[in-house]
Amino acid sequence: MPYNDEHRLAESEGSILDLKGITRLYRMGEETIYALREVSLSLSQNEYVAIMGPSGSGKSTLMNIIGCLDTPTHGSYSFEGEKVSRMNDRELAGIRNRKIGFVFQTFNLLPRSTALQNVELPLIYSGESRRKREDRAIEALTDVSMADRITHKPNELSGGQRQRVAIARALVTKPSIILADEPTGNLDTKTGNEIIGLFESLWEEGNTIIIVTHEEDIATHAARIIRLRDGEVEEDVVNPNRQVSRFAVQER
Amino acid sequence: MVQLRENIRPAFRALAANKMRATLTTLGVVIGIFFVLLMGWVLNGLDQAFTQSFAFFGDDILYIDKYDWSGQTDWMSQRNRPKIDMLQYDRFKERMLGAEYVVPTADRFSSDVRYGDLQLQGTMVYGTTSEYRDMYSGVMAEGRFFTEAENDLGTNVVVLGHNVHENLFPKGDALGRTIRIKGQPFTVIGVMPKRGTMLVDFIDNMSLIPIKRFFNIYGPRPGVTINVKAKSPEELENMKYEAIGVMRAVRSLAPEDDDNFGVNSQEMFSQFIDITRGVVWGIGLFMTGLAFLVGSIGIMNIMFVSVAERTKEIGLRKAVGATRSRILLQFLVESILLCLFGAMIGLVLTSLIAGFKDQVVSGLISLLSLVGLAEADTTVNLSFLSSTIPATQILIAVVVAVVVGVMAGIIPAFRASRLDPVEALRAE
Ligand SMILES: Nc1ncnc2c1ncn2[C@@H]1O[C@H](COP(=O)(O)OP(=O)(O)OP(=O)(O)O)[C@@H](O)[C@H]1O
Ligand SMILES: [Mg+2]
Repeated sequence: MPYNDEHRLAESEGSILDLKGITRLYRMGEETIYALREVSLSLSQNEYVAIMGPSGSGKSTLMNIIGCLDTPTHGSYSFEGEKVSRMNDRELAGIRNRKIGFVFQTFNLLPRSTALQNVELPLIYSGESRRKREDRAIEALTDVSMADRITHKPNELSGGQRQRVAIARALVTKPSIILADEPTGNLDTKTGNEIIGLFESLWEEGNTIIIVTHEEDIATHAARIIRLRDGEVEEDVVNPNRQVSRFAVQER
Repeated sequence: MVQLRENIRPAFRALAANKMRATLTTLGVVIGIFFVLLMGWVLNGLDQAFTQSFAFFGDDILYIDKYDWSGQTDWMSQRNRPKIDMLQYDRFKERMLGAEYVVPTADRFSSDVRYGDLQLQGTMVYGTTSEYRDMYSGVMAEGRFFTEAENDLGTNVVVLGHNVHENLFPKGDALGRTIRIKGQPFTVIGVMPKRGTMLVDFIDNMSLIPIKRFFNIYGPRPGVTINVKAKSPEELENMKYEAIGVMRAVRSLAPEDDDNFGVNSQEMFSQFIDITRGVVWGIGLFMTGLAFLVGSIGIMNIMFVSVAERTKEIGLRKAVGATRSRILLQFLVESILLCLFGAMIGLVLTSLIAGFKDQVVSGLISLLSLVGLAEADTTVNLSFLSSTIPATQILIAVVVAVVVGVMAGIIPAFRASRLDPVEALRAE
């Protein structure tokens, strides 16, 4: 079933984000590279979207634009009804801080800081008191089953554990949306599946999630799949054969 | 304030991770702060020594003399000036109505002063009148000054300066004893307290005798210095013009003639001090500036390295909500901390030198004597230097360190704050 037909209805009820005709191009000397070309899509509360596509198809570019890290060359982007293109650095930083939780393929934890300090980082930038920061960071670490590792530094954790800490960092501000760009790319299959299980239970708790992946296996857990090719949306569908993660069930 | 605190912790962590590098790069700042503190310390000591040293000249007294003491007029041309004699003094005093006191002094260096077998070297004999003690309050420690009658008669009485007294009469039993000045017997009637200081103590090496007797002993050759005291320090300047006018009249100088005498005051020494201060400042500032230039280039360099090394971290921080200004602040704080760290080392070094100044200087002297640049038994009196660094100097050093930290850190920090988050995250 094509996604957009059904989705038109939902849009008016207040989508989290709306992209219209988003184009991102890079000029390399004479050459112009279209990383994204006229991409339009909307996302509602508590969706679970997988973005797929071959390498170089523009998945990361799309994620960065959605995450307000990158600015489109053309097109309009609204986040919770507000035009992102009109925002200044402070406002963009504010959105990234409070509304968006990023999860990266390479975890991107601060190497000299403990798990707790890493998770606290976004709360420092939102100006929370020390006390509140700690409470909420511990809460987030508990949500990802890392409560017993809060004083560990990244090099004292396994890859899966590092990614859990990174997910806790994304969760700690209770963002409107979690963006994960190939979160299992650096993990073995088993650990990767555990992380996917974690995303799934977060979704079940009401979180909105976009996940970029190469693996069909992982995408099958998502409720909606967007396929990109050469910077264009090739397909945007409700996942016809969605699987509930065995791993999520196992975890709980 | 909260922002600052949140920035200091990671900055410390970043610096601690590179202790060796941090220490090396702050060397320039260490040296710079070291010079700042050292210079401030020495100047402070000199200042104190100078002001104390010249205080006994009085801020309300003019000294009319054959010579200009400032040393600004050519010495040779001053040599041909006529000396001031007692006759001129009397005429001057008669006309000098604006002064509170007008007192003559005449001096003779390296006179022969002895008590029994004890003979003093490098002592001075001063001739003056009984008014001297009225003019300089607090010149008596023991005994009395000579009277007008003793002065007029030229009696053989003497008032001893502090050092003369101490050296000739270690037991302190001088009063009533007879000493010999140029072979003549003089009865000690009074003793002066310590008036001079470490830098200038000739005033404690003198023996005061009635001026009439002075000229009897030494003949008419020594000149007279006219000491003129104003009614208040504020009137000194006006009195100076009056004194010049009166002295010109006494000497019947024509309007086109230059003054053939000097009118001196304590102020001249402060001019001299200012020049010395200026020289010390000049050298000190140059060295400090050089050290800070080298130092801030080092800091700037290390901050660029730090930014480059942590590009990914900067991207991450932006991704989780750091504004440009927060990133800017983070690196500025790091740069300032680096400088403060350097300042701390500099402070410790200077404090050590101040605390062990005598050992340091004697060590230097023995080192110099090894290569033949100094006599091994040279001693230097350092009592004018305090053994701690004054708090104001420390404050200045801290401020300077912060300023250098900002100046050296601002460009790297600005660059960090402007990094594109996507590019930054892709780094490594
Ligand atoms: N900074 C850049 N300069 C030039 N071209 C760029 C830049 N960033 C991305 N591109 C180009 O944009 C296109 C999309 O890149 P993007 O990183 O979004 O792909 P992707 O789908 O995430 O690929 P992968 O699966 O390998 O991560 C690619 O052709 C890439 O070469
Ligand atoms: Mg990618």
